[in-house]
Amino acid sequence: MAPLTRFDLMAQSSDLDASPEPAPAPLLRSVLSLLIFVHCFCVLVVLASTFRRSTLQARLVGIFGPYTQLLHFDPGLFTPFHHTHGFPADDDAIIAVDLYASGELPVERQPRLKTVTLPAAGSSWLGSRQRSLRLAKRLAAYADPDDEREDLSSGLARAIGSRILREHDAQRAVVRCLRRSSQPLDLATLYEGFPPDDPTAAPYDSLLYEADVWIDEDGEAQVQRRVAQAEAAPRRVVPAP
Amino acid sequence: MSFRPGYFTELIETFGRGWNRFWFLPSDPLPCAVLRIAVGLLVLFHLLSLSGDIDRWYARAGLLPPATVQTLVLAEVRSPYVHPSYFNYLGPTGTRIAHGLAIALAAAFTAGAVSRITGVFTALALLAYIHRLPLVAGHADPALVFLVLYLSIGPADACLSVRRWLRGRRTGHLVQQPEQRSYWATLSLRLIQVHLCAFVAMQALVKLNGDAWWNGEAIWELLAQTHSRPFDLTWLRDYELLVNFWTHAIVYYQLAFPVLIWNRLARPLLLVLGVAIWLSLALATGLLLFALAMIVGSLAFVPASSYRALSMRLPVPAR
Repeated sequence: MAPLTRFDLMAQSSDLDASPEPAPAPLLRSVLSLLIFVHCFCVLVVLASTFRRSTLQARLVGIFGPYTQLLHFDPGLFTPFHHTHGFPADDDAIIAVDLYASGELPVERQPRLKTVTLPAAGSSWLGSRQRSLRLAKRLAAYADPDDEREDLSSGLARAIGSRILREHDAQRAVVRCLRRSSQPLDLATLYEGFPPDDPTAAPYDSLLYEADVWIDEDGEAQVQRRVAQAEAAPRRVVPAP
Repeated sequence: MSFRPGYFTELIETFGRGWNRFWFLPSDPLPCAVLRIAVGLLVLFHLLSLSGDIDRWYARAGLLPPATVQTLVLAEVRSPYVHPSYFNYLGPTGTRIAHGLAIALAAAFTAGAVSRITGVFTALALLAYIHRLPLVAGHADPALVFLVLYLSIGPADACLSVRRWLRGRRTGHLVQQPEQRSYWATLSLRLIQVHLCAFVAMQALVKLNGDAWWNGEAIWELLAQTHSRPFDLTWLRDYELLVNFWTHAIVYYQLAFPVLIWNRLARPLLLVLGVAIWLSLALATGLLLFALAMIVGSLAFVPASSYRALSMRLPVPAR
């Protein structure tokens, strides 16, 4: 047996008495080696180009994308593994859905039944809450004035609104997406109007999206955006260059 | 400069020997068994945590119907995206049944009941959740999928398993009996090690694309998120250097791990540091399952001899 090297992690099992499994036949070993090489190449290329892709990387990923996407080896497509880059888009967002009984009356002429929020109150350790926060952040991203995707935000709001309506036997809803700006590390850079001692105060919440969702006479969910995009107030003074 | 005669022949032969030793040297299946249990428990925890509102999220008429998901995904990916999921065709009752079956499969995999088969089906079940809602897929999901898939390759049920227990009842030993070393066990662990290194490197690379991980404020940005943070640690505002250190430590660890973990001397230190680093990230983000998945994945680097020494301390069942 060859002397152990630092790479022989598995070779430290010499305390075993049983004879080892016979080595793979040369043909099997060659086939396995080829499969390992191709697999590792695919995985390394998609993971090495998660955030940005060159033309070459994009072409390569395009070729074996069906394989890596099928097995979720390309997770950066939708999951932000950087967690934050400190941009407003990385701030938490929530979705609030006001429910009303009648689909025909405007909301000003009927009482609000209740408000459902995504995420609901609960522990931040739980996957359910994290999933809701990711959904809200996605709606916020589509509604962000800097990169607005009206068709996507409306489709998302309609889907969420119609589901919440069915759950609560209501006919009309107002779906809102609120992004909460985070406090900067240096409070001296906060703008006036943002209370330094309460990071959950109203000025920190900016309304990014608001739409009416209702069930029409055919039982289909309809959506209409209420207002033009709200401008999110900056939370801190930009230092002079 | 010129290459001496026979250089390329020697290069290829040396690489070939190293390749074969790296991937095919038979090894103890005990690490696979330990990982199977740890990964299985994480999958069970993950699936059980979905149970509360399983049909709200995953049924065909859930918060995001399949057609909406398709539209959103195509808008993001801008290329054909393969995401088959049986949840796309299931109503609330079918969704609950499928979810129950997934939990049963994960439990069987954890227990070591024909882990090669139950592992593959557990991975397929995990993929069904992911492909139903890729837009809100969690950080732990990809790690759990590749861990389960790779463990399905090796003899992960060779010990510490139902199969082994049934056989051990006759001999009165749980794991102390010698196991047959297997190159499939090596293959399984090596794939986990290589994929984990690439996965950690990817996390470091994406962080380096933003200013917050360079200027040391990324951890503060996470602590300042009032909806997602698990604890209010904003008192750390008064300790800016500590916040900077915490931020840099995560990035430097993720940069160092894929390289230094292969060094025998650095490995124990990295494994211990990893527990602190991943848990600290969970403290800032609430991503506990993700942190645990990364810690458990790192166990693939613990030598078999360490597991075997630990297993010797396990109580031997009475005959």
